[in-house]
Amino acid sequence: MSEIRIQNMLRKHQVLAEMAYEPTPLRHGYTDKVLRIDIGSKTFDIRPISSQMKELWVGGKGYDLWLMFQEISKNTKWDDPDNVICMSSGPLGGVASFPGSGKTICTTISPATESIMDSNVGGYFGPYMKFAGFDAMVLTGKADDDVIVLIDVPKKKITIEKAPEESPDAHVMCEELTEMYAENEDDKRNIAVVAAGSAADHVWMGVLNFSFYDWRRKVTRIKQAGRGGLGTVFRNKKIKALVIKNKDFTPAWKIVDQPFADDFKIEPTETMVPLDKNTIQTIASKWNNDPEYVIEMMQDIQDQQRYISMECLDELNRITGVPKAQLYHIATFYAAFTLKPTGKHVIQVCVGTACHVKGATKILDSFERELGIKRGNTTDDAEFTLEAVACLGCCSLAPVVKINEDILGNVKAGDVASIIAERRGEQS
Amino acid sequence: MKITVKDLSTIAAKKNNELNTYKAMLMVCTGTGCVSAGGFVIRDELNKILEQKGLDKEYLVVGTGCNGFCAVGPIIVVQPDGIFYQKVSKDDLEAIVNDHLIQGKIVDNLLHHGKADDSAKKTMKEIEFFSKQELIALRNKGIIDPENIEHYIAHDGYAAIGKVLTDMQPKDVVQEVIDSGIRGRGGGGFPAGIKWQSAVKAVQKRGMPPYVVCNADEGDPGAFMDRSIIEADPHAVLEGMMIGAYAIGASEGYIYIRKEYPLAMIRLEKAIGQAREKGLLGKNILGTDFCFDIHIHRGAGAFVCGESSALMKSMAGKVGEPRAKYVRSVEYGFRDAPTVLNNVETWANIPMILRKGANWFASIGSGDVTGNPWGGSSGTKVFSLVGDINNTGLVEVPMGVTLREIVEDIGGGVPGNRSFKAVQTGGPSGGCLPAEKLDMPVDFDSLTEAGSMMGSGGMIVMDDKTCMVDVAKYFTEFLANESCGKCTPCREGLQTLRETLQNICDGNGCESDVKYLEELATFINETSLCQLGGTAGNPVLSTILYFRDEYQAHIQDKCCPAGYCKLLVTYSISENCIGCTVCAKKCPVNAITGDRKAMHVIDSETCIKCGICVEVCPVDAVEVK
Repeated sequence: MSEIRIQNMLRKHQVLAEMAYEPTPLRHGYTDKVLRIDIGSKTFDIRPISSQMKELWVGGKGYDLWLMFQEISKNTKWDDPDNVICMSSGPLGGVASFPGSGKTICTTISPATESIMDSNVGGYFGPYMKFAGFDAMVLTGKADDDVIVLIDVPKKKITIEKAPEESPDAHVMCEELTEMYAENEDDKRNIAVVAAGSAADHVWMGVLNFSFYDWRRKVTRIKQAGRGGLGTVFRNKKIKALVIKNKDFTPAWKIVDQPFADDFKIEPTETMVPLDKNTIQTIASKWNNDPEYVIEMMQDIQDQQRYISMECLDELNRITGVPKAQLYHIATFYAAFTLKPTGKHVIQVCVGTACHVKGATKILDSFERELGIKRGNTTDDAEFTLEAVACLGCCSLAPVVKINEDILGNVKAGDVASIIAERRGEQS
Repeated sequence: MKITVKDLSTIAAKKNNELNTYKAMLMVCTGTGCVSAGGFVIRDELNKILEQKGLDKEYLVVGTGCNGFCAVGPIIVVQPDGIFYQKVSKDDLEAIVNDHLIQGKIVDNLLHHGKADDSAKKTMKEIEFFSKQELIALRNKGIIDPENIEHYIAHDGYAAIGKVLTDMQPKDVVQEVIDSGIRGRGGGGFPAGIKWQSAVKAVQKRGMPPYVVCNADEGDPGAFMDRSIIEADPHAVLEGMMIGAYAIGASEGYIYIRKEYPLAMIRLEKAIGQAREKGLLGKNILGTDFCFDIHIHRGAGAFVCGESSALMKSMAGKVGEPRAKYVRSVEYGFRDAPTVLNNVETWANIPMILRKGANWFASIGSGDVTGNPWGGSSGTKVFSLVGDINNTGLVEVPMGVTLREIVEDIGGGVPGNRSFKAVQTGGPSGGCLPAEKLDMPVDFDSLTEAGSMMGSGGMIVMDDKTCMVDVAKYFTEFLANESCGKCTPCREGLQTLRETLQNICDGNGCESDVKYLEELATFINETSLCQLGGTAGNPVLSTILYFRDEYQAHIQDKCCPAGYCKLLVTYSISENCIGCTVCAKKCPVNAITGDRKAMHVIDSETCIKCGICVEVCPVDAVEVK
């Protein structure tokens, strides 16, 4: 798809209505706001959701039906301007930890059955609607010309735009709009499009398409709210598409392609030589190559090498027969192991209960400030690694800091600078 | 040399004779606390001085395990009189040798001063910290050399296993432990004898050889009694495990110990080596048919591995994720065999029960355990008394003493001009008890009833500058980090709890938050898979129960009454300022200005609230509000 064609398409857009707004952040799964858009009168309305509504209807279909109940009368027909399309995602919408939490539930009066129907659909629209600050959305009225509705979260505005040039085919339109509103390739996953195609102009059972950008295949894919003819109602209102441009949430897996030592700039120093195969074999033989003692072997490796390299895991896998996935699981599960090289001085600030009560947080803050790194990191010169540990078992000396094997008791925030200076001096 | 039961008394008598030839013994505390303050240096230096003066045949220096009174370490106790020297430094040693040993004069400036009457206390017996304690698990602390098996035998060590092997049937041993009413010291308080009995039944049913396991993965922050017991008396743990193994018919035992305890690990390895040498571990122990050996497994720093099923998975070289408990580990435990898991303190109690009898043990403590081990809490419990308290350290008291006795009498109250606010028991799964609860008896059932729990015995005292919302946040954060992630309520619920508490601490809380916290915490407790999640809501629930007003202050008035929450406080200097300029010099961001001998001012824009000025001010003129 050529860049110029898209630009030309965008140039033909004509903004019919515009509203600036402040996106409400989610709190406990809710924003407590409904966005109502009247396509006919080209007005926007952001309405609060009462706690009663929340307790009674929870979200999703409950919200949709309650909002419909307020909008339509018993005489409303499917093709009346008063018919509405309601969309909502529940309190778990957009929580990546549960299956199905990316769904959107849509309701309207069906052209096929002339009664109220609902349909649920995937795609990114539901979660992005929540991130844009709305628990639900109501579309009502009827436009004169084909329009698109754009919710632009980074720019904090909502617009209704005349859009004559976009393809009448929904799957093409979704690609075009994704291309149009994304800043670059990475940004494409922040665009979600809802669209209906030309078929919906002609049949009772037109579907509503919800897009998401598949970054692995580098293609815009669509999911359908297929039941009851939602797309037919959508087209009847002369809406071509509904677009959300979300704030950039580039996830961590993009930033680090290789989660191991690659992003770590430090060159290994002489004390940080990777272990050769013989040393690993010696360590393993000490524990009779017994898979039951693989944690002990890894501890010995950690002690000698100050981190566990992927080569070590390969070697352990070869010697003990423990699957590499399991070794990796162990290396990431237990606090004693690091996959990155640690500094020459490992500073462990105890944040056990007794130390916490005695002000360990302030001490940890001071170390972070003085070293210029956050906990869990190593300084650029590979001298210091700062860690917060749960309890060193010296609670009577609280607050306690352990530097390599030395335990320092009754540490004060004011001592931190001199403690670091002392260690730096030792090296030179 | 392999020994027999009869040899035990011979060795004891010989060792006692040898010790009696010394005019006095200098017990230098070499527990982790004192070591980090120079315990080893003092022990070696003392040996050197005695050698130089040619006194090393008359006086013996013994490096002991943790004495318990860690607040005043390094400690030297001169036996047999029990003269107690505190905060000893290398330079004091000449004085101790010259004045005390040679001239017989007590070195006054090293004596402990009581809080009540401020008089110098010469002996341990006179010091309040020790006088109220009753020692069973810690019986040998500070009086034996933990690295010398003969020293343990001289104090009736291994007498219990000798008695058990010659006079008792395994089922009698189990019955004795049931009758004693001892409940697991690790947290849950499950009667140890009943556990052993179930293991015996499981062995009969399934015909698999069982295991005994000692849980030394003391993960509760603020608790260090298991470490101290192993450091002071490792053989007591081994003897307890031997008795347990004999009772259930095990021939192998494992100790799962934290890697963070290097000194304990070394002493344990030494003790096992010495016991093997003497034929107390291995084949045909003490010349009988009983065969048993103990191995060590090292933990790798995961709190959830204190949970039995997770611990056993970790011992098998896997990731420590718990499993659902409809199958108990006593039936299907380590290597799927019946497994008895008890913690260090429980095992250390066992030899005393067998030596002195179940009735003796049951008579100590609270409640009545005759015929029903759930009927009360027998015996003693070791607590680590830490936090904002004068006498930090390890104390062992009979079950049923009141919190007040522990905190005020033994602990000597809260230091400075501060007042007592709460005491936290039971580790991260426990709760915070306020001043009103100080007269409550400390035993398994009373603590649970009050919304806390016994746990492993950490007791963290908090004064009025501790913010309870922050404490709840602290524990929730700890648990959220340590959650293994297997079940949803614990993994997701704790994160949400933490975020909500963070919001409150940052001044962004809203009215409905407290109700929400209560609901969610209860939900997590009810629906989690293992006990980590099953008790994870307790810190939040107990702080809301007893300190609701503090939550309200954060939410409604956007202030932290304790002056702790960083975003809700500002630092200022009061009129007490004497203009000494120390704070201005120390301030890392140069936020303090003022001339010498004139009142200083903190620029709140630049101030990063690091707290250094509060620390260094000689007249407490820095106010945090």
